[in-house]
Amino acid sequence: MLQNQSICIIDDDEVYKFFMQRILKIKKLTENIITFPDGEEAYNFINENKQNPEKLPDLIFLDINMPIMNGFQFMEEYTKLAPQIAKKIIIYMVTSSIDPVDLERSKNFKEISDFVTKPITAEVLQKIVDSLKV
Amino acid sequence: MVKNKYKVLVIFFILIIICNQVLINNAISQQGNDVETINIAGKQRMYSQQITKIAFYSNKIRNTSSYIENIEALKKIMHRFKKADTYLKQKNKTTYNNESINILFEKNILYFNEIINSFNNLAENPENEVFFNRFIATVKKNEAPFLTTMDAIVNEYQKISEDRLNFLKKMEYFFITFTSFSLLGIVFFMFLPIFRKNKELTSLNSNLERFKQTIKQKEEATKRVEEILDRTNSVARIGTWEVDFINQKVLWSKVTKEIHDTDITFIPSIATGIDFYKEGYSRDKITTVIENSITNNTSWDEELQIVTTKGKTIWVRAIGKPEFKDDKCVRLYGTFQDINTVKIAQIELNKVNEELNAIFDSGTISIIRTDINGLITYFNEGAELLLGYKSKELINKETPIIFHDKEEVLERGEELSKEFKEEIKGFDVFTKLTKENRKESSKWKYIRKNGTFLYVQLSINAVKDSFGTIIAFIWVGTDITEVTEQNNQLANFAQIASHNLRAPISNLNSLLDLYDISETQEEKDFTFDKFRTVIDHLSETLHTLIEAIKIRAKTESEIEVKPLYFKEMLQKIDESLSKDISKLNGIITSDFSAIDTINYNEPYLENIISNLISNSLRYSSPERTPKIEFKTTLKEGKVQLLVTDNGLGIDLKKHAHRLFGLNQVFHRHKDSQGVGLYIIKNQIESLKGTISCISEVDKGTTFVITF
Repeated sequence: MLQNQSICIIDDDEVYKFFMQRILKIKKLTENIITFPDGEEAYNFINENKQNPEKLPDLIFLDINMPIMNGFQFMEEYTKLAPQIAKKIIIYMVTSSIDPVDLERSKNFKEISDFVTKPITAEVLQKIVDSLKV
Repeated sequence: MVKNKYKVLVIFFILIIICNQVLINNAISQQGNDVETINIAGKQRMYSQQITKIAFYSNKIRNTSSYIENIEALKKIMHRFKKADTYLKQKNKTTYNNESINILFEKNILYFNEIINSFNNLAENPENEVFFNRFIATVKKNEAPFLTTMDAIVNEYQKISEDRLNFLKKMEYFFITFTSFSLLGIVFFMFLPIFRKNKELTSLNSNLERFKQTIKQKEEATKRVEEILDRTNSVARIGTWEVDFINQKVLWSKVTKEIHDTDITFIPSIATGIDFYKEGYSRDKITTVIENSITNNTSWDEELQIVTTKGKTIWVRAIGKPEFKDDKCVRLYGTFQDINTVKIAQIELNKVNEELNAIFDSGTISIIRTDINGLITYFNEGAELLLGYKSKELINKETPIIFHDKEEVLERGEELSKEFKEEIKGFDVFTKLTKENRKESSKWKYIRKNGTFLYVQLSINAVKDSFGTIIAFIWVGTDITEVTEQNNQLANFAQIASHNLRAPISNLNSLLDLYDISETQEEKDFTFDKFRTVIDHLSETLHTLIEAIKIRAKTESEIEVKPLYFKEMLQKIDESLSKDISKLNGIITSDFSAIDTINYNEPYLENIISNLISNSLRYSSPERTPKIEFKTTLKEGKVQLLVTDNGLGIDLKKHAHRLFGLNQVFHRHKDSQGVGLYIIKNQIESLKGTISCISEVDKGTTFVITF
């Protein structure tokens, strides 16, 4: 099994990012991980590489609550940019929030594949990554 | 007058005729005289010729027998001659006394006397030849001049007579002329006025005719108007009435009687008229106004109630007016109208209106009416109270968008645009659902004139005309700020619970997973170290939450307040933060000249000021020396503290709603915890104050605290 998908984690929670990186490595799901502490940095990266599919991630785990540019603000900008992006990116909204308002709001973005609540277990993560291979 | 004129006229003419007659008579007798005189003068001439003839004939027959006869004949002629001469002279003396005739006669008398004397001598001695010869010679000598003189006299007479005739003629002409002029004068002076009068009369007549016609037309018009009035009166139920004090008569028109439900034959009086008015206010009022009218010459126009003969109580409009003669009221007259239906409707309407107004003007409900384009046409007291605008500032000038949050409207517009798949913006954002016949009732933010805001539950309803076309919108907004604030707090706690507490807990779970998976001790230790971080964070969050709950749990009266000097407070904090401040070369300035003291809780104020300084230092621009300025002002009786820095600023468009939330950070900064503003907001609000923020990215931030 070739586990070379590029996975992007956008979150300000260092512990969470540490956990994700560790699990992905331990489970050998991917070696290719990029992280951003907030939406803006992630957006800038994508915008710079929109015509460069090799550098773009296959999968994004997007947190909602972040400084500077939160998950939804990122999605708004991303939606505008999407037609120019030379790669199909799968986005998972990830949050510790169990607020149904957030869930509803995330449904407004067709680019969001699913909504996952923290904590993400190793099994869930495995399933998500596995689904990419189909 | 006219008769006298005629008398004068007749007398005048009689006089003229008499004068004329006298003149003519006189002239005729004169002429007769003249003719006689001329005749006699002519005879005298003839006599002188006969004398000459006979004398010469006698001379021829002197020696014959007939000579004596001739002399005898001559004697007779002489006699006549003398007689005529006497007559003429007499006549001349009495009648003519003409100078030239007198002279002629004086001359003639010489010749006459010679002839007479010579004949007298002969007559005595007819046979005397001498005398006879002398006589012949005298005749010869005197006859011709006598004749000539006599001719001249006759001529003279004729001339006189002719003169007289001419005079008469002239007189006649004069009379004719005079009479004619008199006649003309009479016609002019006597008949002209009559003509004139006639003429006047004629024009008068035509005027009269025209006047009559006008009157007729007027009468017809009046009749028509009366008919119309009658008709409208009975339709509008307006009757008339009149009180004649001189003849002690009261007149009611048909409609007036109908209104009173009385028989058409009913004969009213002042007393019965007044008794129809409902006892109490109506009767007292009419009595007062009538008395006032009779004494002070005033009119009245009152809406009162009467009780008809059928016992119905109805509203009437009674209008009355007095008529005064010599300072005394002689008559009252006026109209009487049945306004029951209208009045009852009006009373009903007023009641409904009052009830509506009571609802409309209740302080917490804002009722606004707009036309279909959004222009405000009604703005109630509640709206004025809630929004701080005066209705006259907005009516026909503004749309409700003026007090709406533009971001919110845009956001809502986008949502609606997605739903209806068409662009919806501006005023349509509010009315789209209403237009679609869907219930529109949502929570909105209203921004007051002074910039503060409140939350309203706003329902927008359409006003439709009879065809179902929307003609206006009614915006009913209820102030739900308090509820919203409580909700917000709840939401805030929920958010804190769901995010700020769940996040570390989920992290703990994940770390536990990781710990299990970890294969080496090194890995396990590393993971365990992470546990500590998460647990520290968790306890810190819990601590903040407890702090906030503690602040919120206290009621205003439980918070201890005392007078505090801003300057002292700032100095104290300056000292405790001096290390951080000097590290960044920060400059803190202050201006407490407007107000330098406040009654406040000391720890709160200390926390507020130190948090704001810390924030400013933390988010200061690396390109500038940090400057923090403290300033107090008084606004609407409240103390405001303005803290302005020249730091990084915050993009309020993006973060305004999260600014004072817990664990909300807006900068990539290692010390950002998102706690400070959350706590100070809770502290400020617990003492009924507010905190707001003005900021521009990379220029600086101003926090405004209204105590």
